[in-house]
Amino acid sequence: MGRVAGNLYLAYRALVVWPLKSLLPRGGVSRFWENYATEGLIPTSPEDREVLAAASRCISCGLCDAFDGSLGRLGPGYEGVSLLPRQVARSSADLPLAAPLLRRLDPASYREAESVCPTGVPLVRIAHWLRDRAERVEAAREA
Amino acid sequence: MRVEGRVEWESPAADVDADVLVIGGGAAGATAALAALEEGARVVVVRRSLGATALTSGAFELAPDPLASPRSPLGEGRSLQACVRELAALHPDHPYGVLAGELPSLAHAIELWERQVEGVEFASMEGANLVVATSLGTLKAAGGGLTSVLRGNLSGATEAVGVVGFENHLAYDAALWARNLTDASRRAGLLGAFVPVACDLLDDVEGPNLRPWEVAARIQADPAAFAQEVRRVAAGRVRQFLFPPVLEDGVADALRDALGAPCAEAAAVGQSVPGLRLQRALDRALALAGARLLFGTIERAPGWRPGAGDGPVELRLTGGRGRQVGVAATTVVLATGKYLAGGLMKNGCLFEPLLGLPIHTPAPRQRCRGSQPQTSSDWRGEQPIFRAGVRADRRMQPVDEGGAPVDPSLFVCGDIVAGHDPARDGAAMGTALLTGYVAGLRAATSARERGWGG
Repeated sequence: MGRVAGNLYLAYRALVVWPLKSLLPRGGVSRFWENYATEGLIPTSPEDREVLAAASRCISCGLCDAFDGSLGRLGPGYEGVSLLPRQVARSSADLPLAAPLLRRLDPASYREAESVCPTGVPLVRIAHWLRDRAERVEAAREA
Repeated sequence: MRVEGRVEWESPAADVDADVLVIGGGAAGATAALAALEEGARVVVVRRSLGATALTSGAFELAPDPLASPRSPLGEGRSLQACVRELAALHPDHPYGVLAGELPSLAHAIELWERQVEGVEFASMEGANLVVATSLGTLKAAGGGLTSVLRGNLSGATEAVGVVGFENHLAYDAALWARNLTDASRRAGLLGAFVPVACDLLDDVEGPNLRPWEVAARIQADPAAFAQEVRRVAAGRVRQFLFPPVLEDGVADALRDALGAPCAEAAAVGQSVPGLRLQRALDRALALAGARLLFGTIERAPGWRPGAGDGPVELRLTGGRGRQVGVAATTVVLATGKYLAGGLMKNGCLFEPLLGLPIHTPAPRQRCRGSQPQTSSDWRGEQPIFRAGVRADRRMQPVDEGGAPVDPSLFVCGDIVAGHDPARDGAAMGTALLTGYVAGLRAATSARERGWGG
């Protein structure tokens, strides 16, 4: 009985709901932008997900910080390049708060720090990505 | 010939061949490479990144006394030799147990390091462990270490030691450190007394959160000025000093000369300037001994797998700019570490990602059922996940579940070897030295027997 009811429900979704959805105005990503962009919440693209997965490999050993040329140069608020993989975990709504610091980063200077990371966290890519995402969030808010 | 400062690891432009290829450039890999070089082999060392060696405290754990504890680091005061034998008898699967017939090789490995690695020392194998202070104010047993750390041996200390801290730093609080060390020494039955020497070196704004390397850089910029400040604060109250682990190469000696008093540094906890100095010393030793040092990620070449045949091991190296070259070696020593450096991984199952070698764990039937069965909720109990690794025979060749060598060209050493839990056994550096030495020697001998260059 349960199987019959399940199959009937699947048939209803396939034959009625799905065709109707394709005829009605589209929601999805555009609705997401409409509802959340002003709050600084922007969709997560497949590339974003790749960066998030790569950043989650950070084990906070701190070895990269010893090879960070900008440690000390960027002043208070910047605790070393290991900050970047942790920064990824912040809500994108908060990211613009870090934007002034992110703009002062020189991602190319993290090549050596990246080369000593035991778990292979792509620090240069993360630095570029954070700057880009902070800009995308700011642009979305302004729009 | 002397190699100064930091050694550059090359990213090769053309295919590479070697008698002995060592994968991993930490303590175990460096020992294997140095041992193979002494046998006359052409040695190539490949490193993808830094690993556990660069995070070591600066005090080396060879074998703790079985009755030792953080409160009583000396235990019964047994000799290092006896402690090594005890560990071998207690855990037959531990590399000390597997290599029970080769234990004199540990002394040979130590001699090799004392000859070739700058700035390290070891206690006598006939004597007891030494006791050094950590930067947290606890005590730690050590069978060796960086010279600057071992100078702080507290086991026979009777005079008051000035412990140097920084007024404006949250981690290096001289008063707290001195109090903790005084308590720890009293509990351990040591006679040491500690006097806080709080220096005014760092400024108020950025000082409190400076990382160890930044403090080290500030001291290195002008050791004489720092010594003057230490002398001013100490005001003649002490005649020997213990510094936090923030001294760069040669700074401990410069401070000793400037202060006219013995100067030591504590063992690091966590982020480690001494660990980075040890790694640099190993890099220099390898370069001086004639190893070719390559940077990059290594993987199996298509068409080659362990046990494929008697030919050379064929691998592929992806260097700094994504350039790929072929690597052919008569024998290969795997010194890729454990979980930190990625020598072992877990994704449901435990696996060795580079060559797919079989993994041995004390909980074998459960190894693919998620992480829970590999760990125990009893924090005092054995944790199978930490003893897991590639099981090796007496020649340090990886073996399958039946005990047969997987490939006559392959050898393993260091943390990747099954049977030892670095935290529980307290013998991580001893295991790296012993297994590295045996693996390097056997790999070179095997390469020679098969004709150098394959």
